Amino acid sequence: MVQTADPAEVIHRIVQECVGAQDDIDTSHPLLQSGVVDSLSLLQIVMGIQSELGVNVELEEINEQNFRDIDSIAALVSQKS
Amino acid sequence: MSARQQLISWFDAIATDRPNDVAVVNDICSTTFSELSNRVADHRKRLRNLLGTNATVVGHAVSNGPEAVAIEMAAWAEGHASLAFPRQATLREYKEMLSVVTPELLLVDTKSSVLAELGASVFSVISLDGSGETVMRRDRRSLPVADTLQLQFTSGSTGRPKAVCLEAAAVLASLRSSQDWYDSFPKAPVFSVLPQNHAMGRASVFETLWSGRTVVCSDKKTPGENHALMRTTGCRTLLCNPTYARLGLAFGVLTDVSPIERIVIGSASVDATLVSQLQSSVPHLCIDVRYGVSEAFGALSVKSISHEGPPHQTGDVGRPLPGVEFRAQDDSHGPISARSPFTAVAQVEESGVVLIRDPSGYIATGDTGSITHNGNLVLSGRSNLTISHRGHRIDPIEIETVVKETGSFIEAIVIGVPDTLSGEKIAIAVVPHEDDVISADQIKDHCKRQLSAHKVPHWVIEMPEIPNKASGKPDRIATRDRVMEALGLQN
Repeated sequence: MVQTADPAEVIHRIVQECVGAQDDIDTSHPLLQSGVVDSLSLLQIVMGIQSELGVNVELEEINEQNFRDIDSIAALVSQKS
Repeated sequence: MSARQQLISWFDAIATDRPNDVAVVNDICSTTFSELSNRVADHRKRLRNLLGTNATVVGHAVSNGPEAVAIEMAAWAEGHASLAFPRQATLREYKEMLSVVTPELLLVDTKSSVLAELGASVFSVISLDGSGETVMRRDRRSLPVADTLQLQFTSGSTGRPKAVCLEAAAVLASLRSSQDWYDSFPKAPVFSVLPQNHAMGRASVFETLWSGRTVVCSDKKTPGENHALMRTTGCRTLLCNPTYARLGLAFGVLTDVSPIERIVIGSASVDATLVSQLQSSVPHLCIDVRYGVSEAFGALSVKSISHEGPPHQTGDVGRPLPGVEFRAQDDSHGPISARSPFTAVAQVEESGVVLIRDPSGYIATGDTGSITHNGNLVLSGRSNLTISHRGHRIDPIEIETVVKETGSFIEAIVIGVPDTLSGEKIAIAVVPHEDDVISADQIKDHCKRQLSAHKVPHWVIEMPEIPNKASGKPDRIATRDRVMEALGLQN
């Protein structure tokens, strides 16, 4: 049986890679408010979600609520999958 | 009538003419011209009661939008100079700025801001949400330069901030000059994502208002909210930097069905690829490039790019506005100077007030370039060390100073690595002391605590030594080449 990666783990990795962090980012860490994620890394995260998980995030969905932390992004992706 | 009085009367005439039109909108509220005038009147009363008639510096650290505009206008009307502090700065950065200029009074959104807590011991702080007490200090401070209307923080090439003193006459001259350009497009609301504590962002808000238009400001980094706000407010013009324009294309904010009809990109050089992408993706879009410097209010030149004209050349920022003169050296990559009624006469540095105009009245723009046979200024780079990242001009010395404070390095050199999206990404080349072990993440974490997010290096590259020039000083160009080689990037 082929095992597929957990989307939440994939999102965690995408965020880590896009912000260039080597230390683990807590899934409830406020990404936008803390400045960890800026508009450039936000674009990379959205593109990563589209290419790795096949989920298209609409422009209106790229808001502070959906991208508050890794848990929120995972919830958005789960809702759209 | 003085320049200051003329500025106020001009706005009052607009507000009287269209009291119920929307003046300023941000992510949380909307204010009509009449309501804005009332806010200004309330702040004027407060300033008069607290400061009397002694002209001084009034600072603020509030969100982009109506409150920031009202505070600045009230300060101007009462004879003071306004000074905007960035709200996301670190404690270290605030201390650096305050060592240059300390306002007599500071208005903040809420008492919990770092600046409010830091400043309370050295100047008076008012929290607009009523969370703090006001204790007025008795040591009065006057204006650093007579009739300064605005002070503008700028990064220098020394690792320390400077505050440019913009006089009322310079602001009035610039606002008058900008109106011809504003008259060339429809009187629809203008959306600005340029921060109000930045020179061009701050000037754009007042230019738009003084043209009788609505200005919509946003602090949001997420394009979903920006796009929704653009639509609900009926914005047809977007003021942004080159990075936001690229993101606008990538995120789909700028499309062939977008309500935005005109994009105004400032205040830096715009590359030909970006213009070409905008023209092919959004054929109906009018593209303007505005060039300005921190030492002047508003734009010094404007270039309107048309589909019919010759292809845009990277760095071409157009002809100088009426009253502005550019001076270039013979070398096509030589320093550019500017002379204009919109430029400041002086700035405040740690050592005190310093005149910035040469005997002929020119200021050094810090940019290099050339002037074409038809009078267009074409920028080629910077004459100082400044790195251009996401629309911010960053002084590498400031970052180097912070990194060296760790005591772990013999040498640390910050350089900009060319990047399609952000302009340049920040890299730091370090030479550690023998036996000293510090990880790249530890260096970044130290920077995050001391510096704003946009100044934190993207890459930390360890080197056995930094290449030196014959003079013994670090060779930054050779260092950049080695860093790019280490990163596997083409130079």
